[in-house]
Amino acid sequence: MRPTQNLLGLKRRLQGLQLVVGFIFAVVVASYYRVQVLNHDHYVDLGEKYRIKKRPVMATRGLVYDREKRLITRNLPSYNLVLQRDEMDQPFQQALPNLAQFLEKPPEQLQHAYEEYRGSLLSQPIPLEENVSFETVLKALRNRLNFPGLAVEVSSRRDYVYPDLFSHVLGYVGEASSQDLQNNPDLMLGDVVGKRGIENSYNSVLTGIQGEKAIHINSRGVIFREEMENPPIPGGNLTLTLDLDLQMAAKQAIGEHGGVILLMDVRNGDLLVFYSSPTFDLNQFSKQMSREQWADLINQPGQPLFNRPLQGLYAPGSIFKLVTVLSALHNNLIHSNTKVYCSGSYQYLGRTFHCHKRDGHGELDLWEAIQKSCNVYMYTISKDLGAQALAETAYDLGFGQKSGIDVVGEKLGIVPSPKWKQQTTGKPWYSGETLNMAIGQGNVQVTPIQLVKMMAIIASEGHCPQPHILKGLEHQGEEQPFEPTISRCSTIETEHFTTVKTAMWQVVNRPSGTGSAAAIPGFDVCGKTGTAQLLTFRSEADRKLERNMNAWFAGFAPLDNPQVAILVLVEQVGAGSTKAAPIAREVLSAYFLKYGRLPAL
Amino acid sequence: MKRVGLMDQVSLVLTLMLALVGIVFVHSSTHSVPGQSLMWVKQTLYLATGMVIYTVLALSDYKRWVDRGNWLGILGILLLVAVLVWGHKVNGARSWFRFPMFSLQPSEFVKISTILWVTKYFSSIQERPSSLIEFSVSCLMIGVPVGLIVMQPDLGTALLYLPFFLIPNFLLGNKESIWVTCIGILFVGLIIGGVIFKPNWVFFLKPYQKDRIIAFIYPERDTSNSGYQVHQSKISIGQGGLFGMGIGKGKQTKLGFLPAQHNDFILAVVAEESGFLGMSALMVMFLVLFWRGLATAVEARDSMGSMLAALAIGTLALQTLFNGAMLTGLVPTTGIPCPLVSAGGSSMWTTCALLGLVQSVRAHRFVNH
Repeated sequence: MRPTQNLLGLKRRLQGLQLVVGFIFAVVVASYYRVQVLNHDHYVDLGEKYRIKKRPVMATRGLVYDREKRLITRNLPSYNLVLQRDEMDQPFQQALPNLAQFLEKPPEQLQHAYEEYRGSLLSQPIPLEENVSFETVLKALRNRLNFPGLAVEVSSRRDYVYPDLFSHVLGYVGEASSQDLQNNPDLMLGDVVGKRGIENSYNSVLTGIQGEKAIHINSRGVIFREEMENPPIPGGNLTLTLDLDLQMAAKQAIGEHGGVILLMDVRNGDLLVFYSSPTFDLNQFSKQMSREQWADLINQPGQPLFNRPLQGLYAPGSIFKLVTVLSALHNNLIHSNTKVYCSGSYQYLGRTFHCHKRDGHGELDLWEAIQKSCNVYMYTISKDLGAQALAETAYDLGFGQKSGIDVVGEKLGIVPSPKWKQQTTGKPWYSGETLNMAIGQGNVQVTPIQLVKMMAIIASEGHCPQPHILKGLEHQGEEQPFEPTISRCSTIETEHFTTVKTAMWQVVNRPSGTGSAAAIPGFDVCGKTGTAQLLTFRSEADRKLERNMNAWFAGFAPLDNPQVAILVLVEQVGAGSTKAAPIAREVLSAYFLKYGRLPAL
Repeated sequence: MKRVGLMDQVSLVLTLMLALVGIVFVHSSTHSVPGQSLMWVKQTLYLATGMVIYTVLALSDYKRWVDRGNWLGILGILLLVAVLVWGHKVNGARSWFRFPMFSLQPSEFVKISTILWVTKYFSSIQERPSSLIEFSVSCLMIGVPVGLIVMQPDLGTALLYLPFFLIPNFLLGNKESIWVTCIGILFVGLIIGGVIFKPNWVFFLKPYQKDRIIAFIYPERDTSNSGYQVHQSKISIGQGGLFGMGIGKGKQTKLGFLPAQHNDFILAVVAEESGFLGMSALMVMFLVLFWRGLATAVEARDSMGSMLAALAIGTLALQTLFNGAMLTGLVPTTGIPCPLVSAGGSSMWTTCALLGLVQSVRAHRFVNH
């Protein structure tokens, strides 16, 4: 045994040990105080960050109806496979090989999708595959725990009830491109935006406002509760001016030919028919399109994606003679019974300009000149008129400028003039060009929408309706009808329009008129045909080939209190009188069958 | 039965209360986990058998056990060798014997045999010899089991052997040993510094051990593995606030964000569900238990009893404090359970045995009895 003083020392040291233990206990308890009491809020926030994740909730895109409230664009559910990065339990590169094998996809494709979303919010899902089958959904759900982060998201996909009927006017939607993202800071990667047509021009109305929900998950990523924090605000619904029945009639009338049919209400600018042929299947764009499908669409000879009514630039041919006549009347060079002798050709500065009737029309007045579409008459009056005056009238009637339609992408066209030629080519204007311009050839380029607008201006004797597709929209329960503006826009006197209208009535309703194939007894259809030569031809035989001619018919009906203006273009088929006028008749018949009273037989 | 009257009733009650708190929170953290729903029943069985060991040891004279210290010490070393050979590998460490119904962790039980061995050695010294010789011998006696445990590798449990050579030398007033201890702590500091700044130089630590040290220094940097545990345990503890979320109502722990929450991290569940007040109460209970144990050492009839009680309490106090401090990130994460509270048989039986031996010292404090 130890000496007693040692035992006393032992006692003292044991008591010292008690103090040391007590002190360390105090330190540990203090550390709990700091975490639990002082930093309580911080850790509550941190905990929520682990348990609660924010997820965007897409707003449903607005629906689109025709003028009689028949649904033409809707949304269908789509089950998409997505990758939720903030639920993954390992870095993407590590998960990639197994994930790619599981999804039976090349790893490069997943890698590409991942790269595209680098730098976006972690809570944003990366789309892997859209609109997957029910079996794939089940397979993904069953294996959820093996692939944390792999999720099935229900979204809606755009569905066009009549997939190829309204293609060019409706347009389609797609994921926002980098260009879109740059232009609109509110857009997020993966957002759906309208790419063309109505989907594009009314995108802000259709889109709605994205909401947000909070999902509560456990450590294995299993969602056990969801709360809607900001409900999404659905997009507004659009009612269009288009008429399903008439659009169908138009499609049927033109068939497989390339071309355009436009039917516009001259009283308010409502477009009842907007058809561009050939067409394409809009629903192709709601799925992920393969490279081959896309190449196929782009390379088709008929160029189905081409929006002809707004972007097609055409020589108007004889329809432009109406501009020449109105210009001459407006500048007091002629009056309605000014007579000209047509010998079948016209000599001007040593060149010979032909009429389409080689043996000549003989002597004719203005009415007959329009009715028979005489070139020599136009040559004669345009020589005195001059190119500048003609260009001014063309501009007055809406050429060389946008029609103002509420669909983006409209082309301007070209109204040539000496000044224009000097500026663009640096060469002087030859007087012979004026003669070519007077019959709608040469450098004149117009869009179909400009032509139908001109018909409306003539029909309403100088008033210009704004062509439009939107009839009204319904946004958050509020109905807002589109209010068209109509004002007198032309400087041409009313009586000159009356003269031309009468001539146009004769074109259709006189047996010798070129547009007689468009006549509907009792409805006083008025119009003008055109046959525009397409290519420079080598021989007289080439010139006669139908595939080198675009057929036009432009007009309105009825003569008194006109209701609708019509434009028909059929590409590369021959003369307007035989190829375009009958189609106009079919479409107008469909219109009057529905909206007018057919006279009792 | 007079020995029962001489036992410390307060310590007995505190031991039972702490173990019951443990059962409550083992139930809270496991009853809804598939495959673990009956863990609290198992824990109750461990406590019951533990209390049998406790009573047997408390009623016997501790001198009988200390006298067998040499044999028990060598038996302990053989056990540790055996586990290195036949042990079952869990998380890269060969620390467990696996039996059909249960597993045993010998490094826990070897704590008891090592304490008895060390006590026998120091109490057998009649005359005061050179303190450096004592220190060297104790280093060898403790160094062999510690070395074997480090080889498993299980640094946490090895750490709990630290009091075995600190306390005897401290109690005997060996100044040199205090110096050696300081050098040892400096050495550990150098290792930690090496891991952080030049990891390649510290060739003798396993990669996951380096990770744990780095995770300890920068818990927010790596939230996937070791750092993740501390990060999550701090979040769980922080949720608790002053009053806690109520037993069984913890948010972070119940959703499974915190790993190993029924054993090594059970105090985080206690803290989240019973708040700072509950946690403080638990810590005060431990403190009183250990203080009374050290008081027993003071009152012991001989230096053998003092040494035995001080060593037992020393290792238990270090274990409790280290476990508590690791959850708030004060010290690095090591796989050691909280005595009495954490789920597990080896830890429960070892703790009961050590506290039983302390009771025996108390019950035999009067020389003449």
